[in-house]
Amino acid sequence: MNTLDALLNGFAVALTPENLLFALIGCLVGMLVGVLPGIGQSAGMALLIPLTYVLPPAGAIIMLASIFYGAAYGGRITSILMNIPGESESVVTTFDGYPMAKQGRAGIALSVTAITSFVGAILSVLAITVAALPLSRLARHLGPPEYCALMVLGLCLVVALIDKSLIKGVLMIGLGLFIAQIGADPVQGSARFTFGSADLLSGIPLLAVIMGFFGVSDVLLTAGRRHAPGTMAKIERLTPARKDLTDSAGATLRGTLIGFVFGLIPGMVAAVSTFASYVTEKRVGKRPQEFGHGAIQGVAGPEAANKSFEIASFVPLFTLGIPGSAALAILVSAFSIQGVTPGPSMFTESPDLVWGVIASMVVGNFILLILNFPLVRMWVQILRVPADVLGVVVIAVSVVGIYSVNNSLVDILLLCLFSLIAVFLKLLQFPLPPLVLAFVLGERIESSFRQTLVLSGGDPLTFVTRPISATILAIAVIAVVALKVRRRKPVLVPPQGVDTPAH
Amino acid sequence: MTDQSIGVAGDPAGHTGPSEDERVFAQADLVAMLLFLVLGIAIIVRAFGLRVTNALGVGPGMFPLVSGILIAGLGLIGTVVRLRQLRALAPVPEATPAAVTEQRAYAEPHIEEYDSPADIDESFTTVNWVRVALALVLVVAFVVLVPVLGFVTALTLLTLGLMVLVAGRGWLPSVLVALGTGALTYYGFGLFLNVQLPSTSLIFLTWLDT
Repeated sequence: MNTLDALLNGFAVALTPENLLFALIGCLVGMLVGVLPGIGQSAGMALLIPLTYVLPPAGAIIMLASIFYGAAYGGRITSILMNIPGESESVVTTFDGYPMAKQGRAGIALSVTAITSFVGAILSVLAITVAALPLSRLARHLGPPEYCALMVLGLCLVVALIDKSLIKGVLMIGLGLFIAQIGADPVQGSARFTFGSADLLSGIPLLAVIMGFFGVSDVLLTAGRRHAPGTMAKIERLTPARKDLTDSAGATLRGTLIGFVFGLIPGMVAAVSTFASYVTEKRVGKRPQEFGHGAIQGVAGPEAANKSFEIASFVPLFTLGIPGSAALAILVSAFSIQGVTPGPSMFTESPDLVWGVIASMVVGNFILLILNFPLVRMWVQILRVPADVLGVVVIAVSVVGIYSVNNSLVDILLLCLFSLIAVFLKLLQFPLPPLVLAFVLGERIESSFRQTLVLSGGDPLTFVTRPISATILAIAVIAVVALKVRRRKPVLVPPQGVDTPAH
Repeated sequence: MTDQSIGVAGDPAGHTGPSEDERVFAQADLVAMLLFLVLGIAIIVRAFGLRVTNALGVGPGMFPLVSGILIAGLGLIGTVVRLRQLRALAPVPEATPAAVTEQRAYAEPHIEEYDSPADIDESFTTVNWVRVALALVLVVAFVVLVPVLGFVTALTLLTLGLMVLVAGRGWLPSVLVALGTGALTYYGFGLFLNVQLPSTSLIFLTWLDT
């Protein structure tokens, strides 16, 4: 089957009434978690994991993927109207989005970013369609040492690019790997760190880790606090003028390219692509002095980069089986529930599923464009839900969600334990995304690490004597040295007055 | 990162030491690093108990050994760096210009590696620890009560408790949110998703079992 046939087949899957409904539900939930404070993309996806048990594979993955890219659309609304970025990648949108809102151009900023996000996403889906199959064929030539090295590269990049201490970042990788080791050893089945508990033998559930470290701990940190109502800009005119669109066209295309290239790198952080796009626009712009004061290119480029990045980050997942973020790690978990292993074999073993998900990205982004252009005022109303009440609902739904995965009350106690640990780790500025990624990749890193050592007769030097794995590990070391050790200032420092989100 | 944000002692404006937040942050960070050191050592010890090598060449203890060394090693480095930073954060009794310059010169190499409490919205002194503890106790109480009351009733009571005691809301909105959550669980998870929710051991509540 050639690529075009495969894609058309994917559209046949994505356009069935039930999958359209799942895409719509995913987009709505994604927008909701993007708009609401305290619930991130990862927590939103994790909360709906129980649903995937009763859904068909394509519907389940399409719904979770729609939440993943829908959240970015929601995040830009608070960035532009309230100067509050929901996720780190939306920080850049505040630089010019909020000044535009203060000038009475909030509606223009929202509609232009909806259009540029849509264009960025669609162009990236086209690029994925062309690149995914050849890349998956290439990936089949990689052996255990290369896979192990690639996963190490992903973890190193996450640590190097996050605006936190290197020691703390690597410690979180160690902790994530340790939590992943709790349970039966993946090769021989020996019990490790279970303290004699049969409940721990099957390992620590991903949902307890995600909701503990991201969802519930955020609620606990602000427990009992009523957020003072922030100032919110009014939306007046929504339809952009022709000049707005022509001014943002170049920025959209450049942002899409930047986002796509960064998204292909396993472990890359989306915020890097949005910052890179912003810096590029400022450099190539005819009036750089306008940036920071409401330049439309300053919101168009980064938003296109953000969407393009998110779509492109599916490429390492589909071709190598490596999730680049905590949110994509949840998608891996959903694939496992459906009995599908993400990786190069997906394109031959589950073509309907993988191409259906790719096609659904086009469909989902059409839905999101509709939800974000004419219906943007509806989302603004949702911002008025009190954060403390929402927090209570998050805890209650997390408890039910976690119980429903394994029917285990012990998992709820684990949620409490991880939430408490996460509260302290967050207060002490430990970065949590590396922990979750290391937890998700832990078993696979260990399996490939052990396979490599068995194949090489116990010689660990095989990692550096095989050219591809040596190159990948060298890139990992260079990335950490270049980004963290030599440059002691944080990489992703937002300008003064902008709060960095917790994750 | 400015000098003020990292709490370097003494400045011409009369600031003679780190703030309470910075001091608590630094001390808690030291405790965390020590805990990581202890955890790492415990993992290493256990890894040898699991056998690091076997007939295949690599045993179940090998990977725990690697992660244990990573955690213990970085915990040790973190402890040393934080101890040196705590010395740098110590208040200067008389903030003479010479003392300030000397202390800054000492502190500079040790401070950039670490984040400061100024980087986040929440800190040890702003978190409402009583409500955090209440929330966790309520969830643990829920786990204990599930076999007695059944899942749906226990969850409704948990939500009510969280609304009243943690969110500090009035009884009417709390009851409404609790009933809404209970209904969502009953119909959504119990009936629609067919999740086997534990039933109650109390006869008069059995009508709530799914």
